[in-house]
Amino acid sequence: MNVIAQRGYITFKTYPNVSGYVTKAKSFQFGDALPADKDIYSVVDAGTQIVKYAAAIELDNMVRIKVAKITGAALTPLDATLELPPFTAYMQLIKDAGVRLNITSGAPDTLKLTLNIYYDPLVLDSTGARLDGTSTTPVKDAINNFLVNLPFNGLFVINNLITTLQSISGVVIGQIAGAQATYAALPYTEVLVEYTPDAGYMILDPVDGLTINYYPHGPI
Amino acid sequence: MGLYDVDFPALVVQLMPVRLRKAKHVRWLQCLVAPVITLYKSFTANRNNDLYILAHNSQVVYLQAALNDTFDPVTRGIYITDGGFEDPLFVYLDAEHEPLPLYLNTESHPDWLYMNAETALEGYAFIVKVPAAVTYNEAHMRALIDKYRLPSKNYYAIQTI
Repeated sequence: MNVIAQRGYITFKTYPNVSGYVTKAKSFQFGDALPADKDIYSVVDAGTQIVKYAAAIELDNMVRIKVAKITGAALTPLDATLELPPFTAYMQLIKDAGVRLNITSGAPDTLKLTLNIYYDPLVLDSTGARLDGTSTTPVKDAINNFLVNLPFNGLFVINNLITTLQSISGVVIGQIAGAQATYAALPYTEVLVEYTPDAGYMILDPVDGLTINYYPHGPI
Repeated sequence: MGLYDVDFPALVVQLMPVRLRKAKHVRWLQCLVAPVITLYKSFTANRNNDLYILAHNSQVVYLQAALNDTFDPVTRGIYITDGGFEDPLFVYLDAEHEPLPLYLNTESHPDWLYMNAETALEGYAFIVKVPAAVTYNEAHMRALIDKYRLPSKNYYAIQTI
């Protein structure tokens, strides 16, 4: 396959699968022309790759693609009149002939987390800020980053979040005391093991999404 | 120059000791390598063909490219569209914030409720649109599409536009 890659022929996969649709959705470049008979852009420009988040879900007879972009630091839907039509046209070329696509970009699901963080007092202070001043909210940044990088079907898994918490420098024990998720105006439901967001992606509730209790803890 | 690009007539001359490079001697040796050149040409043709097959798959953009290369290499007017299907009408809960307006008869904006079987893709999986100016052999075109298309997408149409 090396010679194929060098000549820039196929970037999808010889046998495309569902996660391949996610990869290609993220390589969409807003405002750039696709070269004739190619599924990759002649110049890869990360600045115009607006789709930062994509999920592909197989439904009866169709594949549903859910996408979102990043505005500031938060995931937001694509503009329905400006950004979604060119993205749809792009995906119609990229997809396999005969596959029905249903492309949506809706408002995100919201998540509420209550965390108990046992921190190393040599690295973090009692508000969770780093003592060396490089970041004031390392835990929140890590969670936001985790939500942007959910797997291709958007599945939110508590266990993976714990792994993320533990890997933050200065966090000795990361405990999730409570996790709740919802979409639109439905009441919050408890997330025990995993949660599949309706919009395909989720953000922390901007009002009271994150409650963190910090406790000092020695090294273990 | 890649690994597989060999210029046999020139190679013969290069490998000869300089004092033997006389016109008659060179021609004689080039005659001897003629069968090798024939084999090399068929190998190269097969290799280029394999690379072309590997460079195309069932994606719309590559299937279109393969069809245009074969049947319409100049104007490249062949393209592929989706087959016809009906989108299902979803009804949501109040709290889901997905309103479904229902219109009066006089507003002539009907929303159809389809049966499950009707929203399934039961028509053509995809439609290959061929310009009227292109002459083609349908069996040839179907064989080409069948080589690249996804399994199960075997019910498709070829239409002249």
